[in-house]
Amino acid sequence: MNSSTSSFKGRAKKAVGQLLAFVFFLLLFDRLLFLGVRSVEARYYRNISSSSLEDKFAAARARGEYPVLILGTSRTFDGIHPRHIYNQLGVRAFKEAFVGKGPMYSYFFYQEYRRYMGIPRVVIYGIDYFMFNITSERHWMKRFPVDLIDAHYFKAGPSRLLANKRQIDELSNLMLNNLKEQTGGDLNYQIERDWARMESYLGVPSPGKIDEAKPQHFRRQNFAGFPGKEGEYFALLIDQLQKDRVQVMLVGLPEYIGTYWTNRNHSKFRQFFGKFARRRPGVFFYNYDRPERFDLARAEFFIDGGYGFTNSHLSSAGSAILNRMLADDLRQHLGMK
Amino acid sequence: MLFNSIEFWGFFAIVFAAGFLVPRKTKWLLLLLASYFFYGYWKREYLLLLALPTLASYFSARGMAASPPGRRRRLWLALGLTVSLGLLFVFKYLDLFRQAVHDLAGYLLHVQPFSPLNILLPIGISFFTFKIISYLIDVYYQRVPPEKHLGIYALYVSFFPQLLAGPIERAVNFIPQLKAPVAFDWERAASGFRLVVWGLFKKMVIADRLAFFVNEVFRHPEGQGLQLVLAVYFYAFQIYCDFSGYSDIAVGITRVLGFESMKNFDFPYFSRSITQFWSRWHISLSSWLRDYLFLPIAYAVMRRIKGEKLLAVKAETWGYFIGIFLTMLLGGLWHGASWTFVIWGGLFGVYQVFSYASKRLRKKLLRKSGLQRLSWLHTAAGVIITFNLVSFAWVFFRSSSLHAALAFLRQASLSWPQDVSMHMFFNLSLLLLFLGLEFFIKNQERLGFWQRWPGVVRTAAFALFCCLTIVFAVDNSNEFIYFQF
Repeated sequence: MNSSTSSFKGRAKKAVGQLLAFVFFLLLFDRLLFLGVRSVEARYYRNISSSSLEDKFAAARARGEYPVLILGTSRTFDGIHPRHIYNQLGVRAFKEAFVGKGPMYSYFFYQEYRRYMGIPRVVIYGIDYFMFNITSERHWMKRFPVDLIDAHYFKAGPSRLLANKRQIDELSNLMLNNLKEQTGGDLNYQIERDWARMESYLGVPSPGKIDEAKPQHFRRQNFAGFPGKEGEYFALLIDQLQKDRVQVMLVGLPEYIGTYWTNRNHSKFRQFFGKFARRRPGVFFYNYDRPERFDLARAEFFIDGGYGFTNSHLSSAGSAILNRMLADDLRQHLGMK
Repeated sequence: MLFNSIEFWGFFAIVFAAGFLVPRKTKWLLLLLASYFFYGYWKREYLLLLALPTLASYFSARGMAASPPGRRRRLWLALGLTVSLGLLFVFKYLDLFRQAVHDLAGYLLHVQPFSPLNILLPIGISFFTFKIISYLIDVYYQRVPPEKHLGIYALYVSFFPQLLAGPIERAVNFIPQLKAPVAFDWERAASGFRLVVWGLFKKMVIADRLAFFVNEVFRHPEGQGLQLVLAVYFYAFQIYCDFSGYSDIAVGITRVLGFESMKNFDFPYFSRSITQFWSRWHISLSSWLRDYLFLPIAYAVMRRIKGEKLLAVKAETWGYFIGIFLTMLLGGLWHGASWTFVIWGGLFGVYQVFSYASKRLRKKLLRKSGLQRLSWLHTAAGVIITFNLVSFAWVFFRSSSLHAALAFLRQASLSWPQDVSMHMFFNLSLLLLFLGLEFFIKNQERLGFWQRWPGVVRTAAFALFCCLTIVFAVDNSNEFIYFQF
């Protein structure tokens, strides 16, 4: 064996050693940091002051009957308001709609709701174009049995950090939002916790910041079909509501026209929910997210959205119009003339 | 396929592994196929735009080599340049040119409203066009021999790590490496990998996080006050981390594949003057502009001035003034067909002309004020002033239109904003961390402790850095800012 061969072998050995050491430390720190993130998360959830569902239900029950339950995400939070419904129909509606409350949250929430509040007559479910593409945020899910939730959220994989990157980002965003809230910035989270404020909330005016010009190129979004991330829970919820003989209104909320065109497969979206509702007695699909049904191009009806933006929320002016239309449709499901 | 996407790393792993299977002599073919696949992945039609100027410049260079100096040689050069610059003009500047003609005609005649062609700019066209131009000019002046091997030349033009946003590598440095690829070297690959991770950190942790705040403030500057000023500083770091991060990844990948690419950034925000800034920022472009634009213009101006002076100013000063100003203007225009880029380039031209013209006066002031003896204070003042001048120019670079840039500047103030963004504080801490890391890297040899650490500790520290990058990275495949140029 000559000296160049042995020096090559020596270098190769060193290289393999360094590579193995790197992989070892990478896996070690990956696990350690992941444990660290989970421990920060656990401590954080313990510390954030959030009212329990029981408190909310107790406060609501003291006020009277709630024949209507409203479920959905932030688009429903800003788009459908119990106060408008009460003003127009004289019935109370309990709203449990907020950012990060996907189908899985709604399913578990309904189990708690029927236990404490009884079975409603009508459930209004605000459906989103992206609803099968979202996961309910973990901090909301902490209100329900933990074992199931942990299994749903945390994934295994060679890198725990990579596999659970989404959960880590969610935690950091939440911590930032919470910090903002503590400095008086984010009122929405305060409303979510305060049941009485939720009942009187009528949305916010449009800040007039929507870019109305249509760019030549903008990112488009496909419709993530059923079941997607939490579609099974959506189906389970509807099954449960059917068993409870609750009338279900699936409500397609209007999107700003730029967002409407960004979300390119509206026909698939309509077809899916249309078919879904037709096959199930007691389930009805009301799609207001259509240019011929709602003036989607009026920027003052929206808080945000635009070309290239996949999400859009109604302003107080926009939601007032939607709620008038919705109240007319809701009337028949409540058996009113 | 973006460098910060999973699919790119899958592609790279295949190319890297295949590199061990093919003989060293045919490695060029593997890399050429990979590069064309990489480019065609964006849009198959783009392949024609890459192949056409490559073929034209290859035959033009061969034609130049076969012709004696003189008219025929110039014709071959003109042919090669026309194809490359023609394509660049059509895809990048035709609309601006048409609009200028239309606006001019609008003053004289009643014309129809301007309707842009809106031709989609092929990604990376500015970068490979500049590579081709430098090659043709170098062949013309016999600074580099024409490459006989079409495959090697095509690989030089299309080499995938450098294809989309540089560095704009010169043929004289790179073609010899492609012709004689070296054997795999662990140390080199490891250092390339470290550079890749550092680039990803800069892009995904710093640039993409700063982007949240910067985009929001630039989109809606009303009532933001101090946040506007901070957004400009943040943008200065966003674009630096975005582009230098991309360059680090490109240089790192090139190194892992066994080649050495030129450095594109050298701590530009530690520069003490604008001239120094341009010798450290986008080095491959600034050196290209110096060699193929500034020097020819400056010499041409000097040659045209009869005598040593014109209007009591030295001929070489005229050469510098006109050369630097035009170079900066055209450098601005290279970034895009928009007045904001022209003003951005023009501002740098003005800065440098002013700096050159006031050199003596500034030296005198320094001497008189006694600041010359306090070298650290002088350096700090130079760095701060340079950074602020550069940041001011970024306002035009970042704004969507001239109107938006002026509106932004009008609203900027030191007043406390109506609605303070949490991102502002977060970004400030992020920047402090980044500046600390940059300072450490810049001075690591002087500080010395990193080298003194045992190898295993360094490996562990690097692994920890990789994990922290995953934790803090923004999880979306944002395009690199410089792809649009």
